[in-house]
Amino acid sequence: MSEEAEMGISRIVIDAQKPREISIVDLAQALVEAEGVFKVDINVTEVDARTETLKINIAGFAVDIDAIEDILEEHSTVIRSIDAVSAEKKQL
Amino acid sequence: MWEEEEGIVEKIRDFIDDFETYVEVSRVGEIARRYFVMNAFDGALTMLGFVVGSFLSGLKDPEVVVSGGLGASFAMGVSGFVGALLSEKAEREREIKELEKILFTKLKGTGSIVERANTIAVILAALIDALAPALAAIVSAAPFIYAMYFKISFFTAMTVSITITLTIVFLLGFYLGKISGENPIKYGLVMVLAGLLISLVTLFHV
Repeated sequence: MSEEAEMGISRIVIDAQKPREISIVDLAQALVEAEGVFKVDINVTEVDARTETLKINIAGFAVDIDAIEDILEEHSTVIRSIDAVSAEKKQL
Repeated sequence: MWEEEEGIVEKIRDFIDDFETYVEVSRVGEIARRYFVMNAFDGALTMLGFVVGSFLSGLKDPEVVVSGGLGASFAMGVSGFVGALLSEKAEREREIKELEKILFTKLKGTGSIVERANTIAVILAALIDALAPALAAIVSAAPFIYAMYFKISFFTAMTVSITITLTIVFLLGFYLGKISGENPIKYGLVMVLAGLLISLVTLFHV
């Protein structure tokens, strides 16, 4: 087995809340541009008068969580909780 | 060189994209439309009142109408800008605070889209509030500006000016009709009627 291995977050599920004015299309587009992200799924789970609650599924390899947080903050979206995480190691 | 040009085009496209997002997020379109129609109507009718008033008081100097009318519309523009800037800013700040309470987070000073969109919305609303009355008044005053330099009678300038003003008012109504999805011509005529009523009131006041 090789000593060298790349590892990182490969999947993360975020429970988030955003103002209704923010478009989930824009949000998904911004998230998928982040480094290491291959795929973004956003589901609206709850709609309130001023806000919407989202379930954001992010898949990729070595996903940069800080970058994801920054993008969410830029879109005035607040992380309520992180509901699932997968980490993977890739043999080189 | 070619790459550089492409870079500029890209930047402009990005800017337009961002601008569209901000307009959408701040929902400033609706407010801007309202400000535009209200204040253009104001500007046009102020000019109409000024023209009719100066004619009836026997002051038949186009220069007086132009400087008086443009002075009034300039004042309307400045007061519109400041008034809209402050009231929109206050309204938007209240909204941000409300959202902050709901989201349990700080939105002010984070440089987020909502914050930037609100800044753009405030400036846009203020600019429209300032430019709409000034523009309407200048167009209405155009015949008198013409009369200052070329030989046409005050009466002719007044007739043309009133026609232009009523046309502006009609177009504003037409625009409202278009927005509401109702009969634009009906809306336009109602606006013209309102304009005529207002000038009638002016007639009896002079």
